[in-house]
Amino acid sequence: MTGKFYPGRQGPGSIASCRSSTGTRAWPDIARSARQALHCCVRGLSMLSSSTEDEFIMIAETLEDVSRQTRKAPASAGGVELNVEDVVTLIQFHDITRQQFERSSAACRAMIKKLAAADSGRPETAPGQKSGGASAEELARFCVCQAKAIEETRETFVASVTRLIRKIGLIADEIRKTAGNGADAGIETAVHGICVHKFVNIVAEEVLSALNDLRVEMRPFVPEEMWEKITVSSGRTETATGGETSGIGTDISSETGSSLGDNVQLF
Amino acid sequence: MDQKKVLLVDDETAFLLSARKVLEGPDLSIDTVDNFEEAIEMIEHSHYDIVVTDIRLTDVTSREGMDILRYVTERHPGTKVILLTGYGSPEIMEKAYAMGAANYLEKPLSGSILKSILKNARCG
Repeated sequence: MTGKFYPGRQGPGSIASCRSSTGTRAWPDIARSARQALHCCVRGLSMLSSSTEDEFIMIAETLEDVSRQTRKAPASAGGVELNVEDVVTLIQFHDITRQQFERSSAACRAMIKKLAAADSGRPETAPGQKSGGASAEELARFCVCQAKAIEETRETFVASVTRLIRKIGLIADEIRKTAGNGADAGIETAVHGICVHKFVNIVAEEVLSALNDLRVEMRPFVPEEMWEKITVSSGRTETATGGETSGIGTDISSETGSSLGDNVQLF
Repeated sequence: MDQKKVLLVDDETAFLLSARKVLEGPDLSIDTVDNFEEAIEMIEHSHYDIVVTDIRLTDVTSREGMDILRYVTERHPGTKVILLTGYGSPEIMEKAYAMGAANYLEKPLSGSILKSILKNARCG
């Protein structure tokens, strides 16, 4: 899947057409357009959470090649071992990212349900009113917070994959130094094959674009005071419908990539 | 020191493959499985000193890891259970310890730290 994604042809590519239909200022029309855009987000997020697994399995299988190469060149084993441990850490970002995107997708689905009431055009779902479906303020808050959560997740994932590629490159270098050229063909191939971060960037940008456009659409419906509050509180990434959806917030700045926090207790 | 037998349960094949590569050695024997049903089958047919399981094994709301914890603590009290999660919370952590988990760890977890935890676990 990765590397074969064409935004104009599938999934989030249709967000553009959703966006073009949100010119109206009538709330039921906006709500209907918002539903369409959020459906596009759900599709995009589903693609993000399901289509990257094969690449990670390929990376893990590369470790088999590494073992074979280090058996041939035991002198490189120490340096390789440290980098392999880091690869194990970084590979876990696939699961973390998938769960974060799935939660964002679930939050979008919950918002779609709420907007269904507004879609019917019932008067109680007008902007600012709290009964019935989602209010304009709630939708604006939702877009701001989800966009932040998705952005953080994307950045963390791309950073982790970039480090993963570097680590595998270091492993290949280490083996090459001790075993000579040609010893690391499998590893080099794997490094060149990893383009999952590009795929994530493309799809996430489409989803973020849809959320940001929705947020802009909501702007005229949200009182100034409320708008400031929404913008300021976006840093807390708390959604109106999806509960807490904070970015994964994992510190990957350290060289080991480990982020145990204070919840680790030894036996 | 005797070799400890460990069952690693996670729906992420890449994690199973890579973690096994790092963990397996003279101190640790590692079996891996990617779903709840097979995990229970393996726990029933082999004795494991430690079961390391992701909390979520299917969809985003699933908690099969907690079911494995409950199963093991009821039927194999000598086996330690370590829970892993990619998306934890203080509530889940409290619940895990209340149910008898030996440890609760959030991903990403360094291979060397997991290895150290497994090697130093007091079993039996």
